[in-house]
Amino acid sequence: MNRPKLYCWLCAVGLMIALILGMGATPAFSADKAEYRTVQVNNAKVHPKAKSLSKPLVRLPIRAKVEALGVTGKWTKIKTGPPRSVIGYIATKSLDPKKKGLFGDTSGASEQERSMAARGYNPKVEAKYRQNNPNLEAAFSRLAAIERDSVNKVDEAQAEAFLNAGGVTPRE
Amino acid sequence: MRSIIRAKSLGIVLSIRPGGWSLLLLVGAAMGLGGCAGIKWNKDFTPKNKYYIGRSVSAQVLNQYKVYEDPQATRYVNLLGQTLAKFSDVPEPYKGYHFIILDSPEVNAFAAPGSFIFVSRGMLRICATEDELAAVLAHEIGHIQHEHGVKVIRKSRNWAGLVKIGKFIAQATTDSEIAELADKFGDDIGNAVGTMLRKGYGRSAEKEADSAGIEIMHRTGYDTNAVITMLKKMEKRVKPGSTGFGSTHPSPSVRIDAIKSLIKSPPAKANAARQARFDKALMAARQ
Repeated sequence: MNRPKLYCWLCAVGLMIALILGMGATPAFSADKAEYRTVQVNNAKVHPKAKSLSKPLVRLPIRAKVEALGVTGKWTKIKTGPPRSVIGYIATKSLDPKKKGLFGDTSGASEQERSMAARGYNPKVEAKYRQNNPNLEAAFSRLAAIERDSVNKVDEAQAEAFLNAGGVTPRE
Repeated sequence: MRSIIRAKSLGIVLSIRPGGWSLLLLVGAAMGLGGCAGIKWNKDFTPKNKYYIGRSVSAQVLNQYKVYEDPQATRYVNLLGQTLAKFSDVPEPYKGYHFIILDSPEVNAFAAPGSFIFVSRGMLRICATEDELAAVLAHEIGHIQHEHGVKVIRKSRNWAGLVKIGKFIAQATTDSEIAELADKFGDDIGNAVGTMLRKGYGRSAEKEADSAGIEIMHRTGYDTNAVITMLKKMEKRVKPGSTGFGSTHPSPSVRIDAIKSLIKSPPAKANAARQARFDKALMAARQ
């Protein structure tokens, strides 16, 4: 085999290895064909049925990994990881978006741009924004008090009781 | 010299100079290593990002409007709003929904990203039933479901100026980077507040929010005819060119025409208990 040919073959083998590495890192196409998703909200509720007012079986922390088993309307059927493996339904919008294509949306520059820009909205940047806008401090404090006010939080049981008392029957 | 690879089964022919292989190899390796390092190339705004956008937008709102301090009315509006939100496609945003009554005679309601929803006393005054208030709140939840506030920022952002691969990986940790992002953050918040309070999200966004609101009401069990009733009231009360709802929403008659076909059930009978709790909870707020 002459040298240029050998060079080409070595490059081809290297490329294949690199591509396999890339594919392996894409969760949607892992070896066992399972699809894994990440929880994106605090205390995500896993419901026993695909019903909005069913009492949650368990709550998952942000960044928890789950195995996606299927989609029913706005719900994704999932299986949680060990130690306590639970199968139930979670709102699809509470999970990270499903990857598109073999490598996800790697080709669109605007997606990369959005990804970068989205990272601009974080506590550090908000702190700097507040420092730059001291006139908003009273409003931020009021907002924090509203967020802390547990009296105005509504769980599934309270929502169900509220609807029952008002003679409202869900059609879900 | 060119090397040619033929993969007949896939119908692909690659024809690349030897030097070109190095480039392909690098691209492949970057994809592989990028994946291994956990860098997510296809992420958009996460619920957490939306929450931080919404908090600053909401602070701007509270800088312009006073919160109406009435625990009974606030509890009732949250019971109704959060119950409706559970039936939406976004039942659990990053830190939950918050419904806030504004002490303003203006007829208005708006939704900031991150699930802060505002309704004015002026709007509460023109709602005569719980179903009508549900129509208003479900419409605002529809805006959050369709991310209309975030879309304003997506459109306005100077994305290209932020694409620096090193910074992308480092996630902006230096003081100057944070200062730069805070400036851009400020511009974006200004844009979002201006659209939400003055310009409005536009006709197609309002149609999407109307449609989502009707679906949320239907799933929850409320009378979807209340949407039409509310829009007819708005038509009488809100004059073209007025501030608040009149300046941010298309004409109610246009909206009624667009959504008539979505209302499937006949008007429901009034429920005495539902009406009594509405009247009691909002008695002071509607004066």
